[in-house]
Amino acid sequence: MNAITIIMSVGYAALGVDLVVNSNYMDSFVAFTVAAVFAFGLLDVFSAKKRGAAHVLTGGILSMIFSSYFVIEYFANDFDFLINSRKWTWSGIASLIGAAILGIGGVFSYYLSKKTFKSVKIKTGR
Amino acid sequence: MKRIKVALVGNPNVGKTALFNALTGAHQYVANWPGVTVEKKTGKFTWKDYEIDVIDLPGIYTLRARSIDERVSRDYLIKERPDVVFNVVDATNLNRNLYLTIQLSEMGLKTVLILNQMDQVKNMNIKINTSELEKRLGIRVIETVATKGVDVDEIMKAAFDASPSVKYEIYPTQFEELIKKIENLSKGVLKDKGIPMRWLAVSFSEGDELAKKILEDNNLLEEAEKILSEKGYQNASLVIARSRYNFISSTLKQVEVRPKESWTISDALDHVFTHKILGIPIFVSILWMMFQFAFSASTPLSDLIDLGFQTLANYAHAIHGWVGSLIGDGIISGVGSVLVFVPLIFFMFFAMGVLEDTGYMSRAAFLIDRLMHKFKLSGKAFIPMILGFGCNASAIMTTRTIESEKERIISILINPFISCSARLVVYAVIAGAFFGRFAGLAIFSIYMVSIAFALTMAVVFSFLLKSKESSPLTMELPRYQLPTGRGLWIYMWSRGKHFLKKAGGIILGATVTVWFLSNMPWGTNIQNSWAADIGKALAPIFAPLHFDWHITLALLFGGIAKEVTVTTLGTFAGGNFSMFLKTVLDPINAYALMLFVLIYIPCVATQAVMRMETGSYKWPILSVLWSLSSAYVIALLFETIGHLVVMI
Repeated sequence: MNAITIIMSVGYAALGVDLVVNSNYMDSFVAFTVAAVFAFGLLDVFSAKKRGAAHVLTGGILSMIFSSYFVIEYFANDFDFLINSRKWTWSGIASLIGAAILGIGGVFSYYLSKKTFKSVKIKTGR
Repeated sequence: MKRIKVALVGNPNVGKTALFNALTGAHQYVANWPGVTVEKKTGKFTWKDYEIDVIDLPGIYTLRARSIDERVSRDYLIKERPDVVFNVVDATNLNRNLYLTIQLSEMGLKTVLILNQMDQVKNMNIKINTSELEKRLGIRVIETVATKGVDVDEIMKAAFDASPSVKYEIYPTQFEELIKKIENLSKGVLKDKGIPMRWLAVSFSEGDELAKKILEDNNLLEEAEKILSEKGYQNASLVIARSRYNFISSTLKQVEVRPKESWTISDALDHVFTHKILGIPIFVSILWMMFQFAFSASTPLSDLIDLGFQTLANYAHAIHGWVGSLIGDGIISGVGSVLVFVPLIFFMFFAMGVLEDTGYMSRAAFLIDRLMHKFKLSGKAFIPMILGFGCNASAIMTTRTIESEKERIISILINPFISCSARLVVYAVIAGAFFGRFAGLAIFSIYMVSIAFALTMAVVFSFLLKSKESSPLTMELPRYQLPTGRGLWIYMWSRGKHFLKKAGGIILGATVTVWFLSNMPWGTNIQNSWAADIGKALAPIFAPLHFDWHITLALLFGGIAKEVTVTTLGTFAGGNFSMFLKTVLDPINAYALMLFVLIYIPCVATQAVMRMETGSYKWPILSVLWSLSSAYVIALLFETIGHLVVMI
């Protein structure tokens, strides 16, 4: 679980930077937030595995939501461009591919953390 | 046909409205957060030879009502005395829900216990022995999953089988004797008034204000107080609560088996969603995705509808004379300019529906509670604020859940500053014309300003109304769940249809009026029309804001309903908003106009609801004057500073 947490955290941070470069500031804010959710999970994994798993689980869900949202936003903007200019554009495709891959990573995070979450019997302090 | 009255009573968010819909076939909105039903709703259905009136009451935890919505439920039960009460309970949390069941029995109401959310009971591996529960409580118990439909026959048979009254002698013997004494004392005077004696005696003992008032009005207060003080039970609320919970826990020990407490998925999500550092950024991220999704996803559809209206307008212009002008320039350009945003409104409600149905709304209220206290408001005031994004008029009604009267008035006064869906249409037109790919960000920023301004005004109104403390937020966090397609459709349609109705009614009427004013005297240029005369007469007031007469007139008509601002501009623009707006505004003026539309006067419907909810004209008048002057000052400040910055 540690590996996927690191991958997702770094992946979202990288996507955040890419979106800032493309002047997509609010989407980059969301990407950095998801990165932070995973990163905080990494901190928690060492103290309480279940709390860490909770971060990965939530990060996974947020990742799936963000990915779906980003894909819809991308294609809606392109369709709008097509309607108005009669042309299709592929600009920003790298961000789209990044978001889609991270979305798939979100699905893995969700199931992996759910499994850990059910099996680990460590006290969480709650 | 015989008529009987059935009341649905229970804690908030246990599925009363879902049961109401299942019984009556109605389509009332069901949400996954407490406080949705703030007034009683009635519906009907027939069963065998009976016509059954079903009354869906606002959720209550106890009969000691504090807020307006709780009083609606309590007063209905006491004054109307329904023939049967369906006590809807969340079967996964009987320990908390049965408290009200005991109180209902003290009221002497014929009760059927509806164990709802039995699917969740199964998911959580909880075992409930229903027949044993029935035996121990002495009332009929029915298992349901109201969201998936109910067996009406089974429920109605239970209603007729229900025992007329069940009495639980659960209090210490000495205290029971005192209750009986108060009951006997009251019986003599109140026998014919239909007031349940045991409820009166117990409620008085626990310090209930209504019970005290009934005794006082009938000159029984002094004697009742004397009875209680005989054995030192002046304030017996603790004894009563402890006895009830002891009874519940001893009952549940015999009927319920729960798995060992462990973290659920909901607990895990709550750990992160309500995190002290991550909670707020997640909340902002979710709001952003909600707005941007609605804006982006709807834009291609809006453009297609716009193309359709442009084609229709071209056909209409082929008709000669005033009819062609009315249809082409008036109705199609005006009403069409609003109708192109139907997808935006529906997508926005879809996103809001997802937010509410998943259960995230309650977490957001919990998260914002601390911040709200700094602004002299409780987290309870946050829910009307969020609902205000849909419609301010209906959101104001949900302030009934707020116990403190001053806090409630403040929540009502600040609600119109929350940007409703009608204003979204205005922003979409302006932002689309001026801010290109940053249009979504411009609109989102207006929503953020809207929340910040409403909270700032809360502090100002708290100071003016001398409201010192905000009431604490006690809210049960519902389980997270996936929204259902049907639920989302009901949510979207019930809200979106108002927009369509408005387009066919008030917006059409206002559009025809604007067209008429713009074409009179007939054959004249628009610059010399009656509309121009009115606009130009008022324009000097808005001259410091650089709003010309077109904008002035649009804002004037927008006071009726905010969408009319767009239809009025649409009539002037003749189908090309972007080009028209760029001739009368620059980007800074445009953003200032968005700020002005955000803050200035609440629409007529909101003013009417304000009057209804406060019982006075004072508050809507204050709201109109306050918002108008605030809008003017804020827009002026923004323009002045904005132009200065650009010059530097």
